[in-house]
Amino acid sequence: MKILAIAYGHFPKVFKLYSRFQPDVGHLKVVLDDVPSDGFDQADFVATYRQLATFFPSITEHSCCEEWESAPLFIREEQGVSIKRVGESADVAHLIEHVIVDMQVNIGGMQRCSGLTCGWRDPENRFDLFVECIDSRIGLFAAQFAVYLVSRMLSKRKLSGRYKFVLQLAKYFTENPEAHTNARALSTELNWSVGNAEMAMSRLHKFGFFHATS
Amino acid sequence: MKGCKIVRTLHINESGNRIKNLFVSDEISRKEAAELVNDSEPFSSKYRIVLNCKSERRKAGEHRKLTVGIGSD
Repeated sequence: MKILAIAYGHFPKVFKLYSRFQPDVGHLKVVLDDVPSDGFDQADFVATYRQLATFFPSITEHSCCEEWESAPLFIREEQGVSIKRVGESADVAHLIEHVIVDMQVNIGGMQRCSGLTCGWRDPENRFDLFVECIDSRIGLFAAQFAVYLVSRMLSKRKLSGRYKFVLQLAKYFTENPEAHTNARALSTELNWSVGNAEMAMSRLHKFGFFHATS
Repeated sequence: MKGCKIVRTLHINESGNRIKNLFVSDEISRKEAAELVNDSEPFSSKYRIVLNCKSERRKAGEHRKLTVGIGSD
């Protein structure tokens, strides 16, 4: 699975797919390719969801394909799982979209955020994700980090709890734009070990958090 | 995420809106990237499935109501 392109701007046509997008808010468009064609079976989907919910607790409160005339007829609902499953590759892309949406609210400070997962007819394993976004820098980071996390889980690797430091640091920098970017100074400021501060900083760099997007 | 580069390219899409490329994979050319983000093809023929989701920050009042509800049982 890989990202082919990420763009930020206004995509007027998406309002035809989902009329409840906020009119003045820009969109992040993520083109995702080589999404595994078999998706998840029920047990894997629920396990992946539960693991993601430990990092992104508010995904348990997301609305998913509700009150929506375009919801596929074959959608499946699992007990206690807020994200619905359709039983194909779209589930992987849709899970990534939920994670990106969650980061827009909890790191980007948006009051509300909606997203769409659009599966191509050809090739079938390519998806366009449209997510409302007010800060392209957060969007660039969120898209890359979400794909990284879900890719790791697809390869049956358990996510390290240390990734929570990455999310906390992204939020810290968003709320404190003048903060130190030196790992040692951050470790003192946040009362973290130097190792955790260094790891979180390196991940933020890797996933574009410090990329100037203006 | 190996083999990828972050680029900043401003271009104009067909409807006259400014779209900023933030990231383009090494595997595709700039022209292909522009085509991927421009949406020149009608969505009805391009997509086979569309799913949506929404997240909303919970208001303090809603939280309080939920807590009271649990306590009164």
